[in-house]
Amino acid sequence: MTHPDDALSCSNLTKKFDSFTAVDDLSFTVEKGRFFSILGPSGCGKTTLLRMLAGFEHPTSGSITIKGQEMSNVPPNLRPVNMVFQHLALFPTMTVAQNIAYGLKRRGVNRADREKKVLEVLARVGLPDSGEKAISQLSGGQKQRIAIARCLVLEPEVLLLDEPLGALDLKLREHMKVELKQLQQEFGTTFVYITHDQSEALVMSDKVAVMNHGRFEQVGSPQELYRAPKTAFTARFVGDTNAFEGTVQSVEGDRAEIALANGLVVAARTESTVDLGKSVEVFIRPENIMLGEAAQSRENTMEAIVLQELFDGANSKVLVNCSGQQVQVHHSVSQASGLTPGNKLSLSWDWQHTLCLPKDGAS
Amino acid sequence: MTNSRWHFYLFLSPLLLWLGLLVIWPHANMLDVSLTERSYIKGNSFSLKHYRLFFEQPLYWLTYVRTAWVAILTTLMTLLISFPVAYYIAKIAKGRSKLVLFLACILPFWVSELVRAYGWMIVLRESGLLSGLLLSLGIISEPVEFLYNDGAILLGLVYSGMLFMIVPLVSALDSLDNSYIEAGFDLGGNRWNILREIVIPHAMPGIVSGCIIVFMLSLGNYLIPNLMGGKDSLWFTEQIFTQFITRFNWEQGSAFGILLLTLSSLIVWLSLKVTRQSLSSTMGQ
Amino acid sequence: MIASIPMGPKSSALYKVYIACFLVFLLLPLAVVIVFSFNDSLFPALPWQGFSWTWYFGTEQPKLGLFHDHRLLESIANSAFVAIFVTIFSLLLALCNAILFVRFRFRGKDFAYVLMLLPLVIPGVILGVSILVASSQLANWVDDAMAWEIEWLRPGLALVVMGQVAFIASISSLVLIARYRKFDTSLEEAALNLGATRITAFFTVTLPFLRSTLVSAGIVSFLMSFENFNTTLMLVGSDNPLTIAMFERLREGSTPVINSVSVFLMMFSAVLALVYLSMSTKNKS
Repeated sequence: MTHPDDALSCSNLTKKFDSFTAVDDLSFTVEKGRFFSILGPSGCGKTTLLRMLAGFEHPTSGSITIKGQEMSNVPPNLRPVNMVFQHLALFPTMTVAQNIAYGLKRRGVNRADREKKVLEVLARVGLPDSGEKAISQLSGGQKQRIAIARCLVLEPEVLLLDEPLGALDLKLREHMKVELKQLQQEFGTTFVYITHDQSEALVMSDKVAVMNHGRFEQVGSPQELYRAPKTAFTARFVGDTNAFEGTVQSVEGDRAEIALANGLVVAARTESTVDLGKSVEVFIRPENIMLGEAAQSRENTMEAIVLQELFDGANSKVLVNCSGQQVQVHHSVSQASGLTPGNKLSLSWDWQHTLCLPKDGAS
Repeated sequence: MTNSRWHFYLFLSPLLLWLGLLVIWPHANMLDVSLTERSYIKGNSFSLKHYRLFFEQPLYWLTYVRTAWVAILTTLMTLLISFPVAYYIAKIAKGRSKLVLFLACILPFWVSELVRAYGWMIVLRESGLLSGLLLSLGIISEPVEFLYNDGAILLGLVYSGMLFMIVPLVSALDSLDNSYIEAGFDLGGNRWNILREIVIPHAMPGIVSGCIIVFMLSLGNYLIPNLMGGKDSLWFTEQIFTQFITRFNWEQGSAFGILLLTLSSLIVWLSLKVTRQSLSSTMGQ
Repeated sequence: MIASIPMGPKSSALYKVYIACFLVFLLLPLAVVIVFSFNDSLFPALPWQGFSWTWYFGTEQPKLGLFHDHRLLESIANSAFVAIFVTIFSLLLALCNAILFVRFRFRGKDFAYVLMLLPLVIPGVILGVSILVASSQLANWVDDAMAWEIEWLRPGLALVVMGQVAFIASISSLVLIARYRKFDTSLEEAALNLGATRITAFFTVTLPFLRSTLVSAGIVSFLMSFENFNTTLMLVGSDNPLTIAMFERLREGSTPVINSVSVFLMMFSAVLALVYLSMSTKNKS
């Protein structure tokens, strides 16, 4: 099952804490050199999974293989993986250079080589003169880079990252996303990155696993997850969306008609088999809905009343009421006239952009 | 992991050795000795004789009650004197003066209790500073002995306990966010009811821990009553010392020790119960 | 009441006067001790006989100064000997306890924690006598049963060390546990992750984090031991530590050499206190 190109593979991995199952029978592989993200809400088991990979938790059952080597009896200090901790865990009692040299020293690398490697990696992360600085002298972004450098200097098979951007403020986080992605490409190391922030996962990853209740809901490229979510959970968790509940009225190939709770009938695309009369959820992304006259030609239409404009520059939306349900619709800034609260509008969208998925827990 | 069980016992054993050998066993043994009657003819036998003697001899139980009473009085006085000072340090003094004031309160207590008691002796004795001052002011015409009375004991005990009251009070008051006091005012409170309903309840853990320590230290104090008290100012620890060291009556001394321990535990326990605090929360500070 | 809610000018002034009086009360006995150590008189009392260094450097009886008083110097050495051992044992115990209480989960942990605090609420005199009784009985029993006299179980400096460790270990444990609780365990995990063994991780990451607290806990232990009186009094043999030696001199009615010893103690404590304070402010930042 393991392929020589796989940096990491897990099979039937399970972790139970008393009666609580944190990780539930997971099997997956990560190819060498990929940026693999695990995206899920807090409590979904992603941290436990990562800690098992690092060796800080022991699987209840199942196995972890890193570069062809089974890991179950390998203690954390001997695993060919390194980890960037959530709060970075840079040693406050040491300088930047001592932090980076720490792992090399444990491997018995001699002083001259250590110093050389530290300088090299510092240059590569763009902080060539910071070796003698104390950790407390660094800015948030610099700490981030040192934490990564401390791991990468050891040339690990897999670098594990535990939401390292969580503590940064918004601006810096946006910047670090790009930087992390670039670092990963430059070093070519396999990254396994866990986060609850869908935008981090989408921007940086080659592949994303959406995790919920200890299982992967879906694994795929960011584009796949966004355009073709396979479960209602994924549809809701990845990107903004409008959700409606309804029952299936008719199915014709991949086209289904759904009667919504507010009485309207919409046409939607369905990939999974949905049965007649079954309760389903229908998802439409705000950017796929047309407003006003431009909308006449589309298949699904609704009448709505403007509640509020949610101005956010290029990402501006309008919140409307469709027969008792609130819906968010993108609008371009030039389109902004006629959005006074109380105005009537018509919305429309293509059936191909409308996704019909079984309700969570119904399958 | 079996490994971690082994580690656990490795780190548990020093604790057990320390508490077992130096605290629990000696006290259990002392209890045992206090309940033993020694006789060369009959051998050792169980007896409540030493406890009976305590209740039959008014000298003993009066000293006991008096010691407890003075210790409680000391505790209350220390609290009353220290609270305004702690409040000033925590809430009114700012920056440098706060630090200096706090240091001024702490530093004297880095010096041995013996030295502090000695300082007061020089001040209070007949040929001392206070008497000399009053003489030169013409308030008294002959030297007066201020030492060797109950007032001197009380003064000495309050002075020794001060630090152990001020430090927990300052840390408790420091942790009270000023915005609570501001909110109290904003909602129409005045100084007194803010003190009573906001400040004091917040400082309660500090107050309780301060009081427990001061009470304990006063009750178990030997030095101050011995040096500053008069010949007739009996203190229960002196009775214990006499039984053990002077009369070599260890059975009687042990009984007294157990009685003093019972008293201190009882009062500590009661004050924790009444104020709904726990030992670990008050001592943990 | 606080900076944003000022008191009236009158009560504010009154408050300041109270604080000033308190400071005088606090510092008076120490100041008196210092001043009278320079009084060229045989008694630590008025009248003032002129300034002199004799109680520090005097070489002849009756005005024998501290630096030529061999009995006092010897007792200082005894105290230092005791304090060094007490500090070492207390710190080792504290380190084990900190690891036990912070890093392990076990049944009865809360109970064990309360047990660890227990020595703090036992009066020092009682702690002393209980260890005296227990160790003497053990020594008697060993002597009777195997005709083997164990010297260190008899009153003496070894027993003093044990008696002091019994409660000083509680204090240093509290200090160390509080600091260790603030340790981010992911630092240790990071060390393991970077290839360190558990033991290397402890020595390279955890211990440096605890180092300044170990130093300050060590200073506190040393001073508490050096200045302890109540527990020590019950356990001393023929070698007197400083506090006991001073106490005996005081009861004899001593010369102002006691003042100069006290000044020496004050200087010593002040230096240690300042080191301690600079350590603990460094910890906070």
